[in-house]
Amino acid sequence: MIKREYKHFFTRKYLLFLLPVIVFVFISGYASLTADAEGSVYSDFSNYVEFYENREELQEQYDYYKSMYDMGGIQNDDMNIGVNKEETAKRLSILKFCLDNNLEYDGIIDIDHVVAYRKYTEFSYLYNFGTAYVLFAIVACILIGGCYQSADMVTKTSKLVYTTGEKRNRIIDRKFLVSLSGLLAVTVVYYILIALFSLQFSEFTPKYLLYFVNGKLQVMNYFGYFTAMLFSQLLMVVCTYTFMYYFSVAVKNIIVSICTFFVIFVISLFTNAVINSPDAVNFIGFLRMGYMSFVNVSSTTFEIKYCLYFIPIIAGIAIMVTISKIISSKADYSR
Amino acid sequence: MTFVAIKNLKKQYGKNLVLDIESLELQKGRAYGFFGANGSGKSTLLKCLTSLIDYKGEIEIDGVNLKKNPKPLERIGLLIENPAFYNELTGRKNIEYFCKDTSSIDEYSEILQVKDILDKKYRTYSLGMRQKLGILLACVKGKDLIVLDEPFNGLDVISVDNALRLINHCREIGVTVILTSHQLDVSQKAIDSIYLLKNCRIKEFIIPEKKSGERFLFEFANKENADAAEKLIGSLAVEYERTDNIFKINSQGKFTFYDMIDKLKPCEYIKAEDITSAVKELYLEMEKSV
Repeated sequence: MIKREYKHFFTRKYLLFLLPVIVFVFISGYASLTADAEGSVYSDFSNYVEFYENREELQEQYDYYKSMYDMGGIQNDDMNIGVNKEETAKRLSILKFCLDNNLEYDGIIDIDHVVAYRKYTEFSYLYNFGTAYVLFAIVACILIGGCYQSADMVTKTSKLVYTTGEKRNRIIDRKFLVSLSGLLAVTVVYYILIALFSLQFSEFTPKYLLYFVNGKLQVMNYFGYFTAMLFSQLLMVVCTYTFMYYFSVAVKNIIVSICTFFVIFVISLFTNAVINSPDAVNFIGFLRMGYMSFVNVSSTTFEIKYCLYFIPIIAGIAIMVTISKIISSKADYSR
Repeated sequence: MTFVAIKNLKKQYGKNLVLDIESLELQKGRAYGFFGANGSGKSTLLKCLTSLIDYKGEIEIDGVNLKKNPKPLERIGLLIENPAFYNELTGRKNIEYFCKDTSSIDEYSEILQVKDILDKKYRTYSLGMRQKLGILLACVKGKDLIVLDEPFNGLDVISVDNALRLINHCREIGVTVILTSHQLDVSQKAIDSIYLLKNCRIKEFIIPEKKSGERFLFEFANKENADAAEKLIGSLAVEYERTDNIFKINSQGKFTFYDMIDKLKPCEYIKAEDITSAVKELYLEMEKSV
């Protein structure tokens, strides 16, 4: 049955919804060929790290700030106004990391400023095309989730699909798992492809992403960043698709389910544009699909409180699945 | 042996009670026809039997309660209302998608004469072809029970004949058949018993043992010819009913229709008809009596 279901999923109808990903692959490949990989030296840690040409200068910098730290930080300094002990500690940890790993000035990058403005790096390439994929993923989730099970109601093939000798919810769950795995597979393949495209920038790229969690320096290499981006993308697909699929099961109507979700999507984009306050964003986190921002891996991604925002999302999905199972068990599948 | 057992089956749409069957038992290997006016609940009954809709009461197929275990549906073939398949698949692929065991597909497609269209995409099928594919799937999948709702819709005369042959073949190999149809004269050739649905309830009538050429209708131009015919019919020692100049004769297998035509020719009948197992008449009588 699973094999038949996969054959049914990978038919022309549903492949059309996945076709845009090929366009994405071509665009990202073209961008990688035409991007100017070489350019000026940059660093987004300029607030923390001043430019140095060699290890000796780095050591000097480290020694200077160590002495400042020991004196209780810097206050009202001309170059670093408002830098306090906590900030000095952060600066020291970055400098120490550079010393221990013998890094050049552009060997590190702030995770919150991955996008380069002068040249492409592995990280910025992955960021650009990884986050752009979100739009395609959401649209694919809405269209496939809205159509895949409900199409049987429209074409009336539900009369045959739900009389094969299995319980209804089992059939529905199987369709869900097959279609979701197809979407996840496409996502993984896309990410692997853009990761491969990005490797051509590896010669000019920083080696490490740095970020702070509760004041402690964390380090991530490219593989770690790729994994984090991919994981958050997969999580977003799972959440969006699960909700959309079971919503369409409950509604039993392709048009209503797709239109409803697009309305929610537009509302979330609108609120994202007009509401800038973090508190407001947090408050209506689920409605604005706050988890979309999880795809953009940043320093806040790894904070516990940010992960807690998943709770209403998962609760909403669980409620939706439960309601749809109750409705489908009593539904009329003869029309 | 009871194969389908229905107990206290009730189906309501809002406040409207459409089905109320206290008890119904169907035997294995027999064919049942369910008839009734439009909206009498025939399709609703078939939908309950195949668990397509929710209902109150119990339906057991081969001793298994369908609400608790839908496994018997695996061996139930159905054609409910219009057939529906996937447009992008061929007829054969559609059957393979919905049916685990397709070993009889070639044999049945020969009987139904649809072998040449099986490998074409479903979207290219005409209405009649779609109907035939629906019947084919029902028969291929229905290893224990075949449920057909208006199976002869949109079929030409030859296709109807082929469909009847296929249904009868399935019945002969022990499959229980349930069908509903408005085409009574056609359906009678495939069924053993009639159930009439009226006022959401059910009443059974058994069709007498069918033999071709057993019941005939003759009409005569005038009373004289009719009287002469009555004497002749009496001498043949067959049962008959006379209403004015019309005779309904039950030859009980002693004479064929053409034998009766030869014998009554001298009486100059104006109409002669073989009304053996005329379900339509039976149905109309049942309608009046229920």
